[in-house]
Amino acid sequence: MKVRRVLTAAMLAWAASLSPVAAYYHYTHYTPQGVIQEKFDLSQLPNRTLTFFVAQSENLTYSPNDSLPAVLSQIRQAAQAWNATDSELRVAFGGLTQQPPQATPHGLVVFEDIPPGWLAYSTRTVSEPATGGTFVPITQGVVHLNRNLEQKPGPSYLEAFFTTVVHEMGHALGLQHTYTSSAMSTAVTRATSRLKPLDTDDAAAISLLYPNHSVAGNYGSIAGRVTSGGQGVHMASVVAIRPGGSAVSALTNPDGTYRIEWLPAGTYWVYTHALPPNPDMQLPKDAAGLDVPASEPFETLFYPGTRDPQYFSGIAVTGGNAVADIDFAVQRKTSASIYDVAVYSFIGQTAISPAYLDSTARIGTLAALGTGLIGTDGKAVTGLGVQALGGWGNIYSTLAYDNNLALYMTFQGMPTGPQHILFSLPNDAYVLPAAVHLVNRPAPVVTAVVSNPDGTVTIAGSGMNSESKVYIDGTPATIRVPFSGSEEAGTITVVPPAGASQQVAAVAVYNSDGQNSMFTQSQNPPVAAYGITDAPHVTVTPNVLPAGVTSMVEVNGINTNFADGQTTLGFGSSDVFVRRIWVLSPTRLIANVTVAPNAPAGPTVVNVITGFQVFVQPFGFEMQAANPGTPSLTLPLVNVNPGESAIYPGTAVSVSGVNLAAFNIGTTVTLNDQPASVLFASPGQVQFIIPAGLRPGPAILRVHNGVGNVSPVVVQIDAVPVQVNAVLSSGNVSLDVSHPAQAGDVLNVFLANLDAAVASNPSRVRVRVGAIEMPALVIVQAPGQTGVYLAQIILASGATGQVPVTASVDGGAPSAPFYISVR
Amino acid sequence: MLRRFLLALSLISCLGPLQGATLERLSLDDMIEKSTAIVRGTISGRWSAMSGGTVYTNYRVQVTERWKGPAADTAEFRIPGGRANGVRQICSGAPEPVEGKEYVLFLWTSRGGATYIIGFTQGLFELAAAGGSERIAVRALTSETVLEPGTGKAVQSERIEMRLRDLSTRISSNLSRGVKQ
Repeated sequence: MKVRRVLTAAMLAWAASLSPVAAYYHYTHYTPQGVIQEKFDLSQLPNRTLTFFVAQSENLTYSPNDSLPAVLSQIRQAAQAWNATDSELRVAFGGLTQQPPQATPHGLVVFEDIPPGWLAYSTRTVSEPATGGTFVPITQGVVHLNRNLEQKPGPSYLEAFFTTVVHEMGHALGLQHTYTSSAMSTAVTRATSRLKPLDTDDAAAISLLYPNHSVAGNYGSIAGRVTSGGQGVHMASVVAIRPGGSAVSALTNPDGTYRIEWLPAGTYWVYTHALPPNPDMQLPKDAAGLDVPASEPFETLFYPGTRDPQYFSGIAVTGGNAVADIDFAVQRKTSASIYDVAVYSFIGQTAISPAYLDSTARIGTLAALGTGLIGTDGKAVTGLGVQALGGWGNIYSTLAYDNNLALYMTFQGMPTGPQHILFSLPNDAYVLPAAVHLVNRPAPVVTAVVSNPDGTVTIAGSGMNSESKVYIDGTPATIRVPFSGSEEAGTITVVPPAGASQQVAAVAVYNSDGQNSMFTQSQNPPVAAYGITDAPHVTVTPNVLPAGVTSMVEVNGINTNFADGQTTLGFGSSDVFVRRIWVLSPTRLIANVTVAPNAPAGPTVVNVITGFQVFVQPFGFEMQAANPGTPSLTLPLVNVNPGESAIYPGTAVSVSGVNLAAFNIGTTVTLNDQPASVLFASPGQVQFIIPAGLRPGPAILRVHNGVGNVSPVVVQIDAVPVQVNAVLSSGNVSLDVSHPAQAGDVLNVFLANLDAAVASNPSRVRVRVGAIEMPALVIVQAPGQTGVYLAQIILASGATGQVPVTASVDGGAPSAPFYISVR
Repeated sequence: MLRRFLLALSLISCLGPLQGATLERLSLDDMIEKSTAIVRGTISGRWSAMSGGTVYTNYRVQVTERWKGPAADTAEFRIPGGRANGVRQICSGAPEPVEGKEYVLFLWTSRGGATYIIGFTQGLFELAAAGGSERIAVRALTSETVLEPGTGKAVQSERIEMRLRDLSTRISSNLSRGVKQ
């Protein structure tokens, strides 16, 4: 114990000498070199993509109408949820695995017998912190779920199953619990949903761990220090919160410094609070691997040192800017006063958490449960005040009952969306972000499900509207006939996802405000029954590839329904990376796959999953030992013009690889069998011109090195990209050093190669000035310039100097940059 | 309206599932019923091994008293996390019983034969001296989220502290009343 104290004291002394560093809720180590986190090594992940596989999925026990295909669809969607961020890390679903040795870091979802009282947990495999290393590498993250899906959080069609998998995957990626009602918050306070699986705090957390520096300029930061009696407070939680918006948090370092990063632009209130006594977190480790404890509890304070909302000071955050010196001097306490609060609303006698309240109602009733709300006398604790943060809601009264605190509130006339609740005491406070969601219509209820002869399904119910979405076993269905009817009685007709033979699937309707029919129908949900269909079968060609090779594979199916965005191709090993899939028809797809250079030789399982159709072929693919003489391309192709990334007809591109040219023998290239003009060929690189006649879409690139064929790959041919001809001031003056633009200026961006249909919908056009995206306010034909359009933007703050301006359509490849001067 | 709402509040404990969770709260009676073995003993050994890709730390208990389960002088159970085969795996929040310390353990054996502490940390009671020959059993707050069974209602994990003889009486009483063994 004494040794540990000395080490901890030494670590704290060392930390006090640090400049502020980011200490989010990650798995953190304090090393002599600095603060480092546990995370995956992106350089070891193909395309910076971590793939989750499902293992040990045999002999599962299901609730009625639940099934393995339904379970897999939820895991797939949970993995995809982690891509809705600006992080450099991408997350993919690789289907089923039989767990062969895998050299490439990966994620697993395993099913096992879990003892009573456990619902789910995660483990991660880490290397020892390397001396001088900048992070502790995670090589495998595993989500453990109960083999018995009759137990919570099952069955799989419930929202709770999905949000639990999202949460546990977050742990596997390197995130700890937070207290912002985000996906990584504990189940007590979590306010995420199927429609909004991640919140801003989750996006900030994953971006901080795996930063994409090219977009960092879109975000700002807030930094400062939390002290008590002049001493830094360790592991104080500091939260930036927007009224009616989201919260983003960070933890303080041992010296009390903090920095909240990846903050979207906006005005924030900032508060600091102590972690609860059971913080559901792994403490930071010191160099000896020992826990570095949090400082003693302290009072919750808002900046600038108050708990009275009328004195809160809003902190304006803009992209690319850092706000410093948001400091707190707090008073220590023996224990936190209020914590782990959950707020419920009710539909009849069914409790809903997070709560939803009708903002048009005169008074809404909520129930709050948590530590510190009710006194030993069974009444609300003395001095307790409750209000919506931002002064938008009034509490009429509170009533303690059966350890719950009933809240009678009004939000009449207030905007819909999340509202935070502030519980205050004379000497402390507690904030529950997104405690209640204001809505202006009732939750949907499904009253009938009718399967139509054409395979569509018509859902009838109440509380539906034109924005309602239908989920079949937790998977979104495609709307065939939009909503018609009234709020009291309406219908929507959908095309369900491809189903397994005789599958009986739970049907749910979700409204854009987050309310869904499972609020009241989870115990006995309405179902849709699929018919009898023949089992799918697929063949993969080639089904053997050596390690280190990238190649196109062709997948042909029988009784399949391949569909863009719904079909997953997997090889049961993270060493076979599926780079991209192109669905050509319901029975044919092509894909690029890369076998890792260090992949162990041996067979793997092929699986192709579309909707709920699952085809698995054990030993369907084989990895062979690497052969140094094998010619191979390395993706991606790159435009030889360093300012352009689009690959389009007529442009010169370069592809690298090995053994691409034999000595003194010509290398030839074709794309979709059209010869390409080769500009340059060496064993390691070929440059050629994309044939002018190619249409946008997938094209098969074949290279012959003069001796033999290189494994073909698929190339996505882009449309000729939009071009930025000029960027002028609103008075059409050049923006050079003598006439620089400044934040707030209206700029005229002149665009060529823009389709008229795109020009009529400015939201499809993205203009970036530096790293900051700025919406096109209006797009019109440029006066006197045929085929040229004029897009107007308002220059946001953030970038200065010589700044590139680019444009893109529908998120596609950006144009070559046009440089302007910005003051 | 007030009466209806109060009724709803009182019924929270028998309502439908809510958001996801990590742990489910087990009462002492739940643990007595759902465990496959309940023993008192001292941790006499620990070792780590990999099973199905997961590293577990296995614990051996020298049993001094047994209320439930097959008679044997020793019992073994495992907890996720540890080092084996050159791999270090971490399961945040997992309990870490200490060699040489005495516990009352509520154990559960799966169909596959692996034995765990029931309820993650909930089935682990550390024994400590309480004056004279008296021993007290203490269960710390769990470090993970706990939800009410059957409802999903968020509840506080409870620190339980009781005399060993009272715990023993409670276990024996429940078992003699015909709680499943």
